[in-house]
Order: sequence, then C-alpha cells, then structure tokens
Amino acid sequence: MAAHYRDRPVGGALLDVTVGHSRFGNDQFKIQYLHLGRADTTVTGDGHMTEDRVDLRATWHLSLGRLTVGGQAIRFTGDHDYLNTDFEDILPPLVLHDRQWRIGVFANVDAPLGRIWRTRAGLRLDRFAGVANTLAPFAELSYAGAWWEARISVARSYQSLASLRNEESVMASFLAYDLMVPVKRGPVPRNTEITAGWVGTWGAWRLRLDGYARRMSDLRLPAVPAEPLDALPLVDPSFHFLGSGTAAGVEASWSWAGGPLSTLGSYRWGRATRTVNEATYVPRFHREHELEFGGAMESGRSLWSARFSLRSGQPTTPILAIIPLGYHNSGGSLETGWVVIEGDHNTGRLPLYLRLDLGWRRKHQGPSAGKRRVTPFVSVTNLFSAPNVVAADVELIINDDGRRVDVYNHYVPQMPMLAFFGVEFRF
Amino acid sequence: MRAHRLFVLTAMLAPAACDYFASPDELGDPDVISIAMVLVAGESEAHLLAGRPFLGRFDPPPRVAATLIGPGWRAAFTHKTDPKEGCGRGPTIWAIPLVCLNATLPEPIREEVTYRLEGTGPKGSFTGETTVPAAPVILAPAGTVWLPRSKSVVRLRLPIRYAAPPEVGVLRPEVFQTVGNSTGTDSRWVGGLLPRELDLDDQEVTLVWSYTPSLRLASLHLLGIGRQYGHFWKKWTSFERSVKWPSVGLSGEGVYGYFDGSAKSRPVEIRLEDEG
Repeated sequence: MAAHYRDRPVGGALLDVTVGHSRFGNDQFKIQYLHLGRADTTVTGDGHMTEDRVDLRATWHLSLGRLTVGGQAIRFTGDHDYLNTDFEDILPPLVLHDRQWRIGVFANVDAPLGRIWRTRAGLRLDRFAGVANTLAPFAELSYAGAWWEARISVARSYQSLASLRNEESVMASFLAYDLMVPVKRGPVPRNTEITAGWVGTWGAWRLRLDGYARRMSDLRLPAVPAEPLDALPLVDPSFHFLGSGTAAGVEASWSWAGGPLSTLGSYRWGRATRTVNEATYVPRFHREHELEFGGAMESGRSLWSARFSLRSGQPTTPILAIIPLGYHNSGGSLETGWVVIEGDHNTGRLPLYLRLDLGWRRKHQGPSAGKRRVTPFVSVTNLFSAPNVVAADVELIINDDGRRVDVYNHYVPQMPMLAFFGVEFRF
Repeated sequence: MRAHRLFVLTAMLAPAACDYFASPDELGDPDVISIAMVLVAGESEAHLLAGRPFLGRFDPPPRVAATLIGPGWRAAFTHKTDPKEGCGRGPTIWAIPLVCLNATLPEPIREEVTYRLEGTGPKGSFTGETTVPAAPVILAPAGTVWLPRSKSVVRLRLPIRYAAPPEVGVLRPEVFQTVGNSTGTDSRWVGGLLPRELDLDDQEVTLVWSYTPSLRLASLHLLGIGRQYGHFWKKWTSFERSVKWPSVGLSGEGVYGYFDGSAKSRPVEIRLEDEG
C-alpha cells in the first residue's frame, strides 16, 4: 500500500513524496482433526516481514540535464516465530525478531553529451542503523543510434538483509518464497557490477544483448551441506558464515511479430560461484545455458501458444565410486557396509531441463453471458512429463533373499505434466 | 495453414519426446574400480577384492593386475575363481562384478612394516601404501580364564583391559570356540559378541556373549585394523554414507577403496570347569 504526492513548490523543482507499507505474512497452518471427525486449521508458526518507507525526491530539469536529489527512510522488520512448527523438515524451530532502519540520501545526474551520447551518474550514502555506513556510486554511458542503442554501466550497491534460504538444500527447489531478517552486524553485503547492453530494432525484429560481471562480497551463506537432500531449506542466519560470490554472463533476447504469428526467445549463458569457508563452488540453482523459445499464433477465433525451454542440468556433486565395505574379521562375516565417495561439491551436472508448454484460449472476448464476457482457456504444462530432475541420490536395494545389493541412481523429478482448464470472466 | 501448424508443432515436440524416452544417465564411470584389501599380520597370503561399482552383476569383472611389495620382495597377485574364498563374504554380496586376487608371500606379514601395492586397472596404474599396525594387547586377564560349566545357555560377562597402538583405527574382539559332545566337535567363530568394536580411547570393557555346556575351549583375541580402513568404517557406523575421497592408502586414476593392515593380539584361552 502506497500513497504518492507530487508538486512543484519552489525553484522549478518537481517534488515527489511516497509513503508506503508492505507486508509479507508467512504464518504456517496445519489441519488438525478435532472431536467428532471435524477438522480445523490451527496456527503452528507465525511470522511476517514488513517494510515501511518514506521517499522524498526533488528533480530539476536544467539546461545541462536532469538533477535528482532525494532521501529515503526504510524500516524493515523480520519477525519469525516457529518454535512449535510441525514442519521441521523445512524449518527448524527458531525465533527471529529483528528490525532495522536504513536512512539514505542520494543524488543523480542525467546529462546528454551531444545528440547521441548520454551519461548518468549518481552517489548514494546509506546509514544502516547500528551496523555500518555505506557509499554506493554508479555511472552509465549510453549511445543512441538510428536503429540501435548501447550502454555500459558500473554500480555498487548494499543490502543489509540476510536470507534464511539455504540454496544448497534440494528442498529449496520446492520452496517458492524466502524469509529474511536484517543483518545484525557489519560488514554489509555488497554487490559490485559492470553491465553492457545493446538493443536494435529492424522491422518486425527486435534484438537485445546484455553482458554482465558481478562480484558479491560479505554475503551471509550457510556452510556447504554434506547431504543436500537432507539439508534444511531455511536456516537461522546466525549459523551462516561470511561468504562471497561471482557471476558473469551474456543474455540475448529477440522478438518478431508478423501477421498471425509472433515469436520471442532468449538465450542466457552464465557462470556463478559462491565461496564460503574457503570452499568455492557453483551454486546448485545455477544453469550454465538457458534457451527459451515461445510462439503465439492466431487462427480464426483461437489463440494458440507454445513455450519451449531447454536448460543445462543443475550442478550436483558427482559420485566417484561406491566402496563395498567389508566387515573385516577373522571369520569372513557376511556383514557388509557401503560408502559413497563423492567428488567436489557441485562439480557434476544433472540431466538437462526440457519443458514444453502448450496453451489455447479464445481470441479476444468469448461468448457473452448477459453483459459479461466469458473467455475459456486450456493449457498444458510440461507436456510429456519430462523428468527435469533437481537432485540425484544413490539408492541401494537389498534383494528379497538379503544376499544381493543393487545400486541405483535415484533422480528426484520436478513437476510432472499438469493440465489446466479455466474460464475468464470480464465485467 | 493447417499443415504449417502441424509442422511447427512436430518440430517443437520432437526433442521433448526424445528426451523423455531416453535412458537415464549412467550412475558413474563404468571403468572406476573399488578395491578392498586388508593385510593380516602373521599370514603368508594376501587377498585383494576389486569390483566395478557402477556395473551390473552380469557385466565382466575388472581387469586388474597387482603386485604386493614387501621388504626385499615382490609378490604378484593371481586370480581366484571364487571371490568368497579369501576375500571374505562380506563385500561379495554386492551385485557388482567382482574379482578376488590372491598372492602367496615369501614371508608372513609383519607388524609395523610398510608394504606397497602397485597395479594397473581399466583407467591406468595405481599405487597403495600401508604400514601394518602393531598388535593390540590384552592386559587382563593375563592367563587362562576358567568358566563354570552350566546346564543351559549362559550369558558370559568377561571384563577385559586392553591397549591399542595409535595406528589402529578399528579394534574388534573375536572369539573362536570349539563345542562338542560325545559324537564329535565343531569349531566356529562366535557371533553376537558385544560390543562389536572397542573404544580406542578407553582401556576397559566387559565382553558379553552366550556359551553352552557343550563349550570345550575358546580363544579370545583383539583384531586391530589400521586407520585407512577405519576412516571408512567410522563413516559407515556414523551413518555418513557420502564422504570425500581422503586420498589415503590408495592413489590412481579411477581407483577408490582401502588398502590397510591388521594385527591380532595374543590370545586368551577360555576353559570350562565343573563347579564344586
């Protein structure tokens, strides 16, 4: 919820004031069976993250360019109480309550350099109450040609929040949200990046290219889990360590529209690392190559669409060997054990990700029902139920006679094929 | 237009269909071999068990050639037809292709002597090195133990004091007993002896096992196995199934496992005596 006020009080400045409040509630419920066969929901954990903010900004349009000066006050509260949680596979019992003020002032200049060159530069000073003061500059140079534009920028930013997510946990792949609390003491997590981009439009084609290199410092990261399949996806950040990360890559996206057919697609290549406790690894969520291709076609009263995704497999820790471990004694015992020898963390790759979605919907407005318009649609997600595994685990099956042990690689699949049918009402 | 649509759809669906029906990736490198080998002080034979952990039981066993190198001698391993002979039955229940190699040594394995292993596997050469630990010592009882003869099965509780040298990683008590009656005797290892492993930091424990009136003679000793094997055994007993390769004992491309030594303490004799 936000309120925005704009005025031009004095000196030709344009004044913008925004007051906002946002809240993310993360209460946990469970269905509890009561007497007489009745069921009800009860709260087993409660929590929320709130952000209150006030933005003040003054903008002057000068002959040399545009000057913006402003201030910002943000109060972030993370309040998570899961002492009595019934979901200990996801969240350990914890109580976290922290609040932090972030007071910042900034100034930006946006100035043209002739007709085709343009530059932007800015500086931001932040005080993270009780933690640190930070200075964050940025600069950008852009070029605008007849049918294409290009830009290059460098920037540094700070964010004084720590995530509870443990991205190295396999369970994190199935958890759609994040819980955060303010960092209690410095240094503040820092991001430094350089980006370059190019965008061109030629007829019905539009092509965009971007490259980036990023370095993240003073991150709060959990230790690398020995067993990602068993690791909790949400962890108290007080158990995290100071870490760092890098990311670099290129992204290309294009679109084309002609007649009843329109397509868009993108390709991304990137590298990413995380370093914690002197161990450097590729994070489990990273996919080196990602290709997306989508198309839509109008035919009569129907609008057909398809989306195709092809991505590199996620990193996984490779299995180097399995050692059948004998119970060495003088009697030649039948007992045996096994130990899996793993390679370095996340140096292997799971099978690639492949997914095809199809959709159909009634073009424009469908049949009318009084003054209402009804638009039916059908979609199929992950046609063919491609497994798209998120993890692998060695599984040993002891045969019925108890005398033979077979070894399997058990893949943990992601979402199977899902079909949706819907009706959209418009009033 | 309809044909055009069909073509576009077919082109997009084909790769998805191929991926879905493709066989899953192999579990691991099929040329990787696992080696399990523990030398026993006092024995004049050595046994090496090699397996291909990522292949099925009907696949051919690994081609492994190996030589054990002792102080002033080399002994080549030769194939044994049945892995259960010599290599112990424990690892051989695995449904993987296994081969057991056997070497006859010019002298018995000695305590506190370093032995080396040289060999070649599917991915190249490998080496290993281990120093056989000194034998553990049973400090008490010092001599023969006399047990009262009972009329039924009796649970024996035998306190012992012991000491293990620092190079021992796993310490196991073992009892070999002879039972019999007027029709004959039978000798076998005692099962169900508790505890199965002795604490290396402690020096006293009470062993527990059951014996019958038919017990005639038993012999107790402690078997100390080195730390290279102990590293894996501790992972197994602490339910840490996945471990990083420690690079101890064995090294070489595509070769994993353990090469270690063991030694037995002097035996303690156990006899029955009639009460009264």
